[in-house]
Amino acid sequence: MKTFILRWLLGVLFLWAAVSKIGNPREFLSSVYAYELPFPRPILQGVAVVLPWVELLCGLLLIAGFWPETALLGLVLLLGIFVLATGQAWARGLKIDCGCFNLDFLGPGLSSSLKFVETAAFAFFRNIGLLGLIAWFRKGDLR
Amino acid sequence: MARERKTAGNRKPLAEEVRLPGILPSTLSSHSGDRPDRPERQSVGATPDGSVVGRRALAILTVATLLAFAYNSASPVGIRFGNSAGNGLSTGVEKPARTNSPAESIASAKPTLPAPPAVVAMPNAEGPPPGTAAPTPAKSAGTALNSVPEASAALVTNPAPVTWAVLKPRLATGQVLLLDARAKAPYEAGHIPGAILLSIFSSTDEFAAFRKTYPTNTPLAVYCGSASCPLSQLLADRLVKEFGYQHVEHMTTGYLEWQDSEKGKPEVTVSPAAPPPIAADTSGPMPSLVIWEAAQVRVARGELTLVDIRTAPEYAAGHLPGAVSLPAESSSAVIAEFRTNQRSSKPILIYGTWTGSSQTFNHARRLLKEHGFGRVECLHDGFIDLRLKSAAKAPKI
Repeated sequence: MKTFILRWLLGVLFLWAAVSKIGNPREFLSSVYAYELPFPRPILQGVAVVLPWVELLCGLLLIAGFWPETALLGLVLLLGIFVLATGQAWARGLKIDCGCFNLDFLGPGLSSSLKFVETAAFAFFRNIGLLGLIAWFRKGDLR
Repeated sequence: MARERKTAGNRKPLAEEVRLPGILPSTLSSHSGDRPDRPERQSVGATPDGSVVGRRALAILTVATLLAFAYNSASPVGIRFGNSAGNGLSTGVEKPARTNSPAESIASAKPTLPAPPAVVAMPNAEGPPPGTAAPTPAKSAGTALNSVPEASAALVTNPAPVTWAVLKPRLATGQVLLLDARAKAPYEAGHIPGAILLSIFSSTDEFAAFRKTYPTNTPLAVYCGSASCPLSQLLADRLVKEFGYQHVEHMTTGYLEWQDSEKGKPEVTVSPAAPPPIAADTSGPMPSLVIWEAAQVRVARGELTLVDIRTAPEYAAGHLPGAVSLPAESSSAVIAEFRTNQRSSKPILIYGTWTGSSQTFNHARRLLKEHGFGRVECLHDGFIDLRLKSAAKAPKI
């Protein structure tokens, strides 16, 4: 039951994130640029192209229960990258959207009042929280 | 690149020798230590060991990469690689905090220009405007980033006319976004593959959504029904003046000419992801779609027969000057009689009640296809809107 909840929670979350990004690649790329990471643009472009698809595949595999361990590993790695990226943005005081999710479907009113979800600081703690959640669900394996 | 990934994959078996339990072998190995498998926690099957997970991770990454690049290169809004502004991206659309790129300062200074009246009479819309030195979008995108003066010089010839021959290879390589300036009905009946619909008659919301999706340095090309159709130029002007798009071109020919030039060459399709023309019947001749400002000169010169397809009472209550009545619901016999009584071979221009009405357009198609009219043009504007417009401008209709 625990693994079931974990799989669906993470799976749906990452599917949503992936679909938001794949639907508008250039907007996601501008979000990636906004992190002001010290990498050349072609690398950031490559990341912006591939990352949403990794999210999509891992989310799908996790929900389907096919290769769940590998999918979970992928998501942990992604979350690790996100923690670093959002953490450095927060520490440097960058006022950016994390580019994690597309909230537009909620309508203009709700999506603007939920805008804080997209801040770097919130994303940082959310990702830490998700990592902690995974660790807690899996604590049997980690002891 | 592929080789690098392979070696990375081959390194994984090192972890495998430690016989990790399956969960998160490479990241969390230091915490997990050597524990026997705990199968009750596995959701499916047996615990995969490190090398298996490594191989699977590699497989997922490879599949994701392939899918990603395939989708990206096929998508007209995909990311284009390189350091240039080809993505229209260095200016984050929603990041007003960083306005350090020159292109963006232009973009933000530009849109404050007052919008021109949405529709301007353009009797000479066919001819290319002066200053036809059309910079290619890629080139001007580069200059826009590098130096402000050059970029503003480029804006002078923006929008610029462009021919299909020039546009075609750029479209095929995803360097330009093609816009269909016609109304929804003709667009759905058939359009150049890859084109998206943005009519000058689109709503403010649709324009806002478009502006939000495509940053102002996205290279755009606009076309409409035929070479004599001014919608493309009107839309191009509006995109530049009102929305600050920096690289807009309008095709000197339209959909009719495109159909002729590409007939029997289906492989022009821009990309697999491009929406295929609607399966609806697109065979046969297409009526061209015109707007009143362009048509009225020709009507005044007697080059067109104006035909009102609204009902007889509506016609009786008021119609465009010189229009004859041929209600859309007339029987075939009546329409045939009308056609034989039409002495000249002048094209007919039909209009209905509502602007952008697909009924009007479809009726024009029927007249062409089923009733043997030689040339039919369809007025985009409906009678109601023309009357409203003219009430503001005061000439009698």
